[in-house]
Amino acid sequence: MAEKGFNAYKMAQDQFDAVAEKLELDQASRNLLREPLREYHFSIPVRMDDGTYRVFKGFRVQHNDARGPCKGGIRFHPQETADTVRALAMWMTWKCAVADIPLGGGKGGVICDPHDLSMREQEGICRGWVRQVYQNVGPFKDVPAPDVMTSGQHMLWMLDEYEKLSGGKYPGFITGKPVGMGGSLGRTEATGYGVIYHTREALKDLEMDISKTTAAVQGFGNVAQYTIELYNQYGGTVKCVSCWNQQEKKAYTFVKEEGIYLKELRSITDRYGSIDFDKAKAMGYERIPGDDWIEMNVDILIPAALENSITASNVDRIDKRVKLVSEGANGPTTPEADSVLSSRKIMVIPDFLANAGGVTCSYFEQVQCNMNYYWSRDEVLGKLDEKMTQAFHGVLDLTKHRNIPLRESAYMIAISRVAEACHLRGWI
Amino acid sequence: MKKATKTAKNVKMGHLDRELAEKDSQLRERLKELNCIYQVAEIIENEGVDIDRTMQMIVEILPQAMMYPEIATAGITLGPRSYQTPGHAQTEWSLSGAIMQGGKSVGEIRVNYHKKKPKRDIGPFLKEEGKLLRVVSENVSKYVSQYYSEAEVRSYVDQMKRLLSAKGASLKNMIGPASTPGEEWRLIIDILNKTDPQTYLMISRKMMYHLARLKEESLESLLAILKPSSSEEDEQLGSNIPNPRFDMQSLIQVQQGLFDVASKHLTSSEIMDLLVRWLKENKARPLLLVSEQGKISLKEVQSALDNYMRIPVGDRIIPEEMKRTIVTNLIRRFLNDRPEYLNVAKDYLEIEDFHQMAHRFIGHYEGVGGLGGKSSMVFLIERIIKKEMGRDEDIGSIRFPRSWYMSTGAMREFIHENALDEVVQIKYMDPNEIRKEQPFLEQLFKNGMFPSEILNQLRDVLREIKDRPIIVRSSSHLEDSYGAAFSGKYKSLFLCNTGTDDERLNALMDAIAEVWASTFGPNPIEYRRERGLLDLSENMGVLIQEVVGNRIGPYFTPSFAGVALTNNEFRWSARINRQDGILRMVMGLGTRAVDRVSNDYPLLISPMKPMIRVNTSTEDIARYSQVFMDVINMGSKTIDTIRIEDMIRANSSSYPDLEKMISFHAEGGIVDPKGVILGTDQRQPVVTFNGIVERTPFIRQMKKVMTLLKDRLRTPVDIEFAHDGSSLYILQCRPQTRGMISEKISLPTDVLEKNVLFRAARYVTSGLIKNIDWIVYVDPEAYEKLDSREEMNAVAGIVSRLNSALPKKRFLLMGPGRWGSRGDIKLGVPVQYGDINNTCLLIEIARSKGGYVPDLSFGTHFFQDLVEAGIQYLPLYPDEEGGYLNEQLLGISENRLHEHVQISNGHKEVVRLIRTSDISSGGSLSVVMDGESIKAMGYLATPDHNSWRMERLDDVLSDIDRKTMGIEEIYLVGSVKENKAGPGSDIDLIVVFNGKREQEERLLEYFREWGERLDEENFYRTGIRSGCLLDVHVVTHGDIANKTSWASHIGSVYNPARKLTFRK
Repeated sequence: MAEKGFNAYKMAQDQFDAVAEKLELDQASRNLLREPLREYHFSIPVRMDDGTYRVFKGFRVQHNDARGPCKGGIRFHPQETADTVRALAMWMTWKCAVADIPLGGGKGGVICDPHDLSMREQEGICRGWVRQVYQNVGPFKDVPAPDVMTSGQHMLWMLDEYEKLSGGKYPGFITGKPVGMGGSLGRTEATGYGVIYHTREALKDLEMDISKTTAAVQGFGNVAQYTIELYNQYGGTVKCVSCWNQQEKKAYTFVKEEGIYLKELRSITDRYGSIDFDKAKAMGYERIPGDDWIEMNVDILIPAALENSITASNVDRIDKRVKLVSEGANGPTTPEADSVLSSRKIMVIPDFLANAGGVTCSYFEQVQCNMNYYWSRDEVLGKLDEKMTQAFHGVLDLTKHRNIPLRESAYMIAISRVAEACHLRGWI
Repeated sequence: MKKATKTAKNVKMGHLDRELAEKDSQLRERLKELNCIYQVAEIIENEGVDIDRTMQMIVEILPQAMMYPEIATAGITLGPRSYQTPGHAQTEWSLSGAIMQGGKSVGEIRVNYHKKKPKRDIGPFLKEEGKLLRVVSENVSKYVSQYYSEAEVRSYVDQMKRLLSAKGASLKNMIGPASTPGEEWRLIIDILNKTDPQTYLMISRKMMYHLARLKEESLESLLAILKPSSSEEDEQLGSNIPNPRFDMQSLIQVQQGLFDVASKHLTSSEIMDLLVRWLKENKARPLLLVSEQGKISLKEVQSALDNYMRIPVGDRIIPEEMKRTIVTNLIRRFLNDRPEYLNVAKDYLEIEDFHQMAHRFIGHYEGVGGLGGKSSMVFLIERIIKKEMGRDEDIGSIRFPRSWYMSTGAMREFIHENALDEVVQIKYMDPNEIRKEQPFLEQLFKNGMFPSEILNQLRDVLREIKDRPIIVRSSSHLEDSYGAAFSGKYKSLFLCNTGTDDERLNALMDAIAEVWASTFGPNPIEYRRERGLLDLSENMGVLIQEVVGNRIGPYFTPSFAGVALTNNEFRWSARINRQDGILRMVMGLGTRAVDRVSNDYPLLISPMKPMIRVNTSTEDIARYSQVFMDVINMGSKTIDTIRIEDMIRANSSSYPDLEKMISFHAEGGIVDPKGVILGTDQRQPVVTFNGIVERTPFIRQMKKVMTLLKDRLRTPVDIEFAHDGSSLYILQCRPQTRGMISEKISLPTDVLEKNVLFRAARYVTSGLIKNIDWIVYVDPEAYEKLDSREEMNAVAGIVSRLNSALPKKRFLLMGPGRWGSRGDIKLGVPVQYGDINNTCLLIEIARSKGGYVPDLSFGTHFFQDLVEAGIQYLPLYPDEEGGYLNEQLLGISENRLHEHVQISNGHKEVVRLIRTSDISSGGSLSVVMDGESIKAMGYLATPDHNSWRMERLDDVLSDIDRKTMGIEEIYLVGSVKENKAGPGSDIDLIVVFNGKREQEERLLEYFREWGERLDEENFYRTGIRSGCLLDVHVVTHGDIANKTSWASHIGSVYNPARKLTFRK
């Protein structure tokens, strides 16, 4: 990689340095935490369909495991770099810490382009990856999960290889498995519900009755739909959703002042997540441009689709009434926009806190696997609520105490928890 | 105890004994078998004249040759006759050999045992006995063949004899003393000579050729009779004067001598054999004669073919050259006379094929029409594939829908009988007029009367096809022949074919009329105009095919169908080659694979590497999978588009192979169903064809068919197929084209190096894009230097806005690495498909970095969207051999980004918007991609100052009101007329004027206004301004008569002015 330009790892380190400065962290802790604890780089020879052999580069980065086994996905990417994986591993450490689950951060990957590979060849890569690193990963060391271009199928191949090598059944080695193959119920809902658990707690703090609030949601994918589902259950009214239209290749916002009805919208949504114009019109929805969701007269904005949705150029369009932004998507708010929101005293639940429901549910999957006993959906979601609520209040307390935005305190809490664990273990 | 001892002793002694006894009995068996073979030969030799006796005697000696003669019986069947030993009956212990005649089994020889015996080599029989029976049956076969040939000749002779005696002539007087026994052939010759001189001449000619090979002196002296006596002088003069004609007598003399020579060199039986063969061959002569006549009517061909087919198979022995002549003649008559077609077809078609075809041919009995392009191709590929099926087991069983071929002449007859003759001239009308005319014309055709003989033939078709749905396809004379593909220009119509006989017939006639009417539609005529085929006459044949498929619920549909292209112009991975071809597969009718439909996707498969799929992530597999399918609704008699999910829920158990086409999208993964419990599965179905690809021979079969047809037809092809769950059907085949381009694309060689913008030499697919006005260039180096994701997203935003602002399909996008990157957007601009959907070409630049060249995406982030929208993709490796990017050219030109989008200055470094006319002094960019030689080039084409001037001139003239301006004619002279206009050239016009002063003023005013407008355009194009681009010279008839100045150009011999035509 070239030295100049955007580098995710450098960005993650800069972010860490800034927070460490605020925490007045000692130098040793800074040195330890701004880099991964361990990295594994290895070669994976694979026999291709045509009989030839190719060697792929694999990685596993374990950023920190002071609080528990590392947790993080495995990416298949043609131009994967060690730096990207390092940055992502570091973010996983903070994410687990802020959600207060007993896991560390890790990330792995293979430099390969699945577009060029048959499923059999991909299986070869998965199994090869495990063979190279199985002594250094495992249910009590480092737990992988699906990520970019990997799915439950890849996880099952990896699990199978791991179990063959270690001679036992260890479903807790890996998460993201299908239900019935060691997967957890409630996984589909987890992220969306998590957003609303945080939102609910935030509204309490803002002294607003959730059942009397209104929201605008950007996106109509999995996260958005479950967010709306739970929010409706609490009595909240979603005035609009903005959603991608596959046919016109652009987004539209569907508005219904008295509140959208999730069930009917789902029934007219195709598999691309596009809502049918005519049917929506017949159901009383008004269609406006995709960007306009941001200027809705509502209490809550929930960006749950793309990154960089709220930017310096459109942040001013946000209505005066808006009190809360819950970041369901990853990185929906740019730093410039973030500071504008902060100056307007709009509370922002930062992405890595708001959407931590996903990783928390992965943690639950692993817990259930380790004891080989699986909970009901309600039990999973009940525990998720408890975990999210606790996590939110941990962050909120600091915010109140230091009078800083949630994002800042979330990072501070996360990093201080990890630093403390390292200290208690006598590392530093 | 005693017993035991004895046994032991026996064992000891018996060992030798047994070995000896064994040897002895083996020897005896061999002796018996040999004896049998001799006996058979002897019987045939001695008793051969009487076939019944011969057979009976052979039967009787057979059991003796067996190991157990006491329980053996034997029998021979020969056609209707049979011969056997007493008590011969069917048992489970049996050995047999076939009697063959002319390659065909005509009977068998069988030996049965009537008691169970220990198992030997072939049941209770020895392998030597098997061999014996083979040898005997071979000998008997030879004998039988010979016997019947002779019998035939004998019957011929008998016939002749009867003929002669009937005439009251004395046989003895007529046949000379030469007819001694054993020289029966002389008898035949003589009879032929007297009764059938034509055949006699043919036989003697053949004998002469035969003997010529012997180089016999006596033959030469015989032939010398015919040679004109010549002096040396004459020889030198050569053949300028005709050779003399000889009297009949000398010819006869020669012929007679010929057979004398023959009898010296050949045995009687050899001569007899030859005569028999030649007489047999002569049976195909009528067919040859018929086929030789080019414009022979259908009726005559049919009857000649019928007669030929009546000859028993064994006797249809005709010399290769004669067969070839007949076949090529028939190909020309019915199929296609282009040499490219003929050369392939003649190797695959047999006379028998034409017989079959002639009975599936619909047309006037007196007509001379052929099949048309599509039918000819369908007919040929069926034979090619069938032939291959006989050779290569791997290709498996491939079927063809029953087809009927309607003559290209039928439409002409129809037009003629219904007095629609004027439609033929429609092609010369203005395209807009044609468009207006079309619906009316279609109704005219539909209301026309079909001739009754055609009607009857159509009724026959419907009777045979029963209530199976039908597709009526156009098969025009020009369409689908090599070089012009007319893909989708003419109509193909589905018919549900239900109802009463009359309803079905009416529907079929309507469809045929509509297909005929489409010949005169605006699109095909425009296409013909472009390709210079307008003046050729277009005769539309019609191909009537049964639709492949099954009745499923209220619908009729194939399980799946699609098209196979032998050149893959859209590769999604470097591991896939262009020559690997590509399959576009859909559930239901193939219509959705043939045409591109928005918002739905066929499955794309590379048949050589079927496991490397376009879409690999779960979301993409689900997103880019087929949602709707086309089916024939038998109730409403329409083609319906229904949701696949609905089809599955309602009809999962009756849909063949459904479980092999569907996977489920569940819990973030794609799962293939195991077993067949689809109907109750509540998971979301996704069409993946995984089972078809992995567990059926389909891909292997298609691979074979594609390679076969591409090789044999010597051109890349486009094959339509369908599958009904049990068999693969090949529906049609035509040369592969890419939209309008069917010629070979090759890179121009005359482009100056400074005008080359880029060159590419890896993963090039074929394409040709001209007149690109804009280049959106994302500078890879500048993009690399961006240090935040927002900056990169902003670049994507600019591209998106340009995509909406620039004229559609007139701009190309060039950028670093992987367009549409999602996670690691440093690798490429993070656009979505909607941000780039108006571009005509997407270029990914891979610059090497420290000896490492990054992988490109091949457009995979929105690959299928690109395919369906026909957006081309080109990877560029400027640092590798054959790659080149003229960054200087891109760098120096003015960045016009600010004219179209508001941006901050920083982005100007990254995104450059270049107007191609800026860097080519008024020209534009052309991109030529030659997938064949894997080379592509983008170059600046010098501006063409002439053609736009001519186009505008058309506009100037079309607006003119000649009467009010007193204009009689307008002539064009000067550089524009010479096709040599430069950037500043004006357009010189001579106006022949006949009117008043104010009319002339109005006229000049009109041209001045236009001149200024055109000048403005020229300024925009070239930056040159002259004030008025039209230079008008008004002349009168008097000027023309006096040839004064400008008027002298009119009618000039050396540099005549061109008269312009006025159009409405």
